[in-house]
Amino acid sequence: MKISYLWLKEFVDFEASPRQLADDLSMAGVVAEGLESAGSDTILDFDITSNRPDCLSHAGVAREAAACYRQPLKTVDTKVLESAEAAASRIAVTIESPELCARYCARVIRNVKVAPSPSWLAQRLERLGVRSINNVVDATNYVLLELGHPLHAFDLSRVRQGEIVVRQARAKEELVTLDGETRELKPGMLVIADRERALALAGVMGGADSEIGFAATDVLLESAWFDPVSVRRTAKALGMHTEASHRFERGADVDAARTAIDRTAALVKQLAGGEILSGVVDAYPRSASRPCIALRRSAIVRVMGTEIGDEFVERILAALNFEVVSHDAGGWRVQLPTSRLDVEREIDLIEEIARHYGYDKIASALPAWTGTSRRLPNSLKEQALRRSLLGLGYTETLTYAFVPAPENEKFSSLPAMRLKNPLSLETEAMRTSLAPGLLGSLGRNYHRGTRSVRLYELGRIYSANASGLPNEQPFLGLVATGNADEKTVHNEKARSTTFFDLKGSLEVLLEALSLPASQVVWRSRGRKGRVPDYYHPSVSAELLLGSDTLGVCGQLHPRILEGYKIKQPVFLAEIPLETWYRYQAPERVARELPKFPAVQRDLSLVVDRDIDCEAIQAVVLQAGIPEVQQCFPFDLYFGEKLPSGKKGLSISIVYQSPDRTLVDEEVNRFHEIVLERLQSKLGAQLRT
Amino acid sequence: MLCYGVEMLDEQIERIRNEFESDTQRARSPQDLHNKYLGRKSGLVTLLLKQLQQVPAAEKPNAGKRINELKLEVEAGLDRLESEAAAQALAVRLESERVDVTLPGNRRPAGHAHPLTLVRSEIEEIFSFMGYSVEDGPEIESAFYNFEALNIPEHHPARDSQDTFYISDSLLLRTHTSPVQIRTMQKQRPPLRIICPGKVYRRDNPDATHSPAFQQIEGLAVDEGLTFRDFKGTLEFFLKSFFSQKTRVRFRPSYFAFTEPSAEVDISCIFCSGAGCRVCKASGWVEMLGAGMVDPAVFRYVDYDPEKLAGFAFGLGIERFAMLKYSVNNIQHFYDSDLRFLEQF
Ligand SMILES: [Zn+2]
Repeated sequence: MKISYLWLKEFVDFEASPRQLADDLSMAGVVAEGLESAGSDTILDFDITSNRPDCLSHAGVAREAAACYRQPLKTVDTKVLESAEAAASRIAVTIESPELCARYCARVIRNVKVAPSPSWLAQRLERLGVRSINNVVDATNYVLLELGHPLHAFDLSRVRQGEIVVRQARAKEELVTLDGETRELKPGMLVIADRERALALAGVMGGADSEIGFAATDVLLESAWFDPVSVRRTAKALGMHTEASHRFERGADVDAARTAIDRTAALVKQLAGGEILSGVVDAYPRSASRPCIALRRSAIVRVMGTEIGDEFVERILAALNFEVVSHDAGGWRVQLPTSRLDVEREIDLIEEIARHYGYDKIASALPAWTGTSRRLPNSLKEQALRRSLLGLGYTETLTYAFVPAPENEKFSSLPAMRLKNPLSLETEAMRTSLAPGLLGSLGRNYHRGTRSVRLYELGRIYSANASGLPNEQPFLGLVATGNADEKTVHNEKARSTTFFDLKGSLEVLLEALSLPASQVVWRSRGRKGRVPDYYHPSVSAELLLGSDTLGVCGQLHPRILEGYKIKQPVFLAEIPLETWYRYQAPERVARELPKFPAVQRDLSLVVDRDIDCEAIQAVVLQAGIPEVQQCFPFDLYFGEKLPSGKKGLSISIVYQSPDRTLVDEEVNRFHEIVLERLQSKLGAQLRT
Repeated sequence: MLCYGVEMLDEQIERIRNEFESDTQRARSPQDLHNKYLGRKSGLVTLLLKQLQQVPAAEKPNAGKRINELKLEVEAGLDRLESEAAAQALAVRLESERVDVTLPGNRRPAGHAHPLTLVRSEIEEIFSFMGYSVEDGPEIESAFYNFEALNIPEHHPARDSQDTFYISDSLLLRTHTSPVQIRTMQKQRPPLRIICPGKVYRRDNPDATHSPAFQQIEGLAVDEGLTFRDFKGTLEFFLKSFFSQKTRVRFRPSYFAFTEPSAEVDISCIFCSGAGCRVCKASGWVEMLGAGMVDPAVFRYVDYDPEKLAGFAFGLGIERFAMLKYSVNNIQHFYDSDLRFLEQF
């Protein structure tokens, strides 16, 4: 809301400079966002909160300034010089929808001379951002800016049979509004009509047909009160927002309707001549009287924590147009004005007093507290994951939760929730997978020239359950591409990321949450692993702990990467965190340290290519030798020296006894048994 | 011709001592000197000891003692010389092993926490210190929890400032984390101190200061006897803890549907200390939070007695705090995943 500093001074005397005024009113809750000089004047731009339509005018802001500077508020002159003929002889008003129109005032001015406005008026309007049209229309806009009440002027000759009907629109009824648009109306929208057709959209915009042009001679002035919700609905439904609708939908002042029409009529006569017919045709079917409410001293102290003197309370109430009708030991009874529909309760009055008292004058205190405080149930686990991820070289990224639907469907078969009004159709689906966001992020970095990227996102995915209700689940996603180790001055050769870098990272994360990494089984597709088809069919796995899926991970299918124009392997892991969080780690019990030395022996085996390491380890550990403590691979070889379909796998076996030092002969015997088992069960051979 | 007089022996001892002294100062090898003085056949000290047999018996003990002293001196001198030589050799070897310590460290690069996560943790930490518990809730909310229960009925103009993404007529992406406050009040009785961090959504086109998704932390305290003074004190403590003790805090009246009285909370601009700059649009103040005393109507929705209880609530955008704290000039950086940006944190 643009306010002229000089115009404001016509309502109230004060010394403050525009800058000072802006600061002082801002500290009372009427916030000036900026100010700029315009000739000898300064225009202040106020950001009026939606509860304060009364401040959408010079008189309204002046009231705040008057309260602030302890000055009286001057009122505008509303004397009207009327001619003998009665307005009622020219116009009748029928309100058919009194629930949407509490009051409709009409005045008639005849024989006006519509002309361009004088320059003082045109300039005043234009400085405040209102285009000058002609002297009659400008008069209504002037009063709008002055008193805040929206008015409308009709060309009376276009109102058929001299009757205004305020009614709801008929289905499919059409109206060409002032902006030249043809609007299709619907029942529920309030229109100003004559007996034949709609003339204006009540409280939103006039119609083109009845607009005041330079040929008009007789003017019908309208000053009414329309229901806020109705105006808001109509304006929204038609995609319109006007100075009038802005005010009506926030709540206009029903009493001001009368003042404003008198003020406007006088102004039209002053600017365009003519005769103001006597009387206001004032249809006021629904009383808008407001109640008296109690304001207790004790309630002020209870909310503000400090006493505010009676003298101050009463002065502010009076200055803000709240009439104290009585007072007693406990407090006051206050008549609420029609201009302040936002004030309904005692707490609203307390706020009025507090904001003029000054929040800065209220001393601060820190409240006592005897309770405890809690974290979110999984917050420590989440922190542990985040710490590990940083150590593993993964940088956190955050991506939007809405993604293109086809992207989503590439990575998930969960039913997605869709936005009814997305910013663009590109982003209408709520993600059911973290993959689209992570790959997008990875792709952007890759195409910027960063070839080695490791990112993680910890966020929710959203899906619809069987009854269509949303289901939000926390997920962790990892993506990696490029080198696991870079070539540096210390490291001769770079090493590309492999599946096992990702697997290693996941093992660290499992341990960070005390999940038993050694009990987690890794199943590739074709080995009972349920791995989605956007993964490389043979370089990917499902992680299982018992019957719980702890996630899937692996290299992405090259076809998926084509869409991102990425020409190097990319690895992805998707982890349903609820499953991880659900796992209750057993209490840690420290083991006694071994008293006798361990003996490590190696075996270099040749086995069929598709015998997994896990199978070999199982045979060793289940060979019936309690002294076998560990078995791990240390070399893997594929090559020409081996028969085709075979691989070389070297393993180390650690033997140890809790009660004696093992002697060589014993270990040799164990080792032979193990080898026999490997030969008989897996067809393994010793590599020579 | 050998002489047997004590004086003569003394002269010899003195001569050998001087010679040894000057030998050790010229850099001769410890081994050579050992041979020259203590050599089994012809070492100067050895020869002297051999002469002892010819000394008259009465003078023998005295002469023996003096020769022995000389021997000990020579031995000590040789030891010193040897350890000096060893130290010298070691120093030379170590010097040859010198590395260029200005070469970069050998490490695998660590990852980086997102700046919004850092700011969020810090804010949570400060409030947790004041006894606030952390609460969580759904991002896809019902219109009831997002609006009605917060005193914002349908067709209320306050809905304009929070342009909303809808899933259906009754389901939407929450525009603030306030619904979590309502849900918490419904299941817990006061006294209550909670903060609700999380993602929220507004249907704004992305630009330097707007993002259709962002993160908020809202807080709520409800107890008997809480007043505007406690509200001010709590937020002052928080803002000074987060920015600096020198930060000045200002409360301006404002309007929010679910608080009354409501306030915007400003801090003195951290870039110009209040003198006025581009960030604070020359005002010296930067708006940080919206807040206020909980509106009694909200208490009624959750069946708290507004005559007995009072509370205050506040909401802040984590992005805004991060932008100020780290001088980030475009909110889009937080969601663009550009490693060149993220690696600065
Ligand atoms: Zn500044």
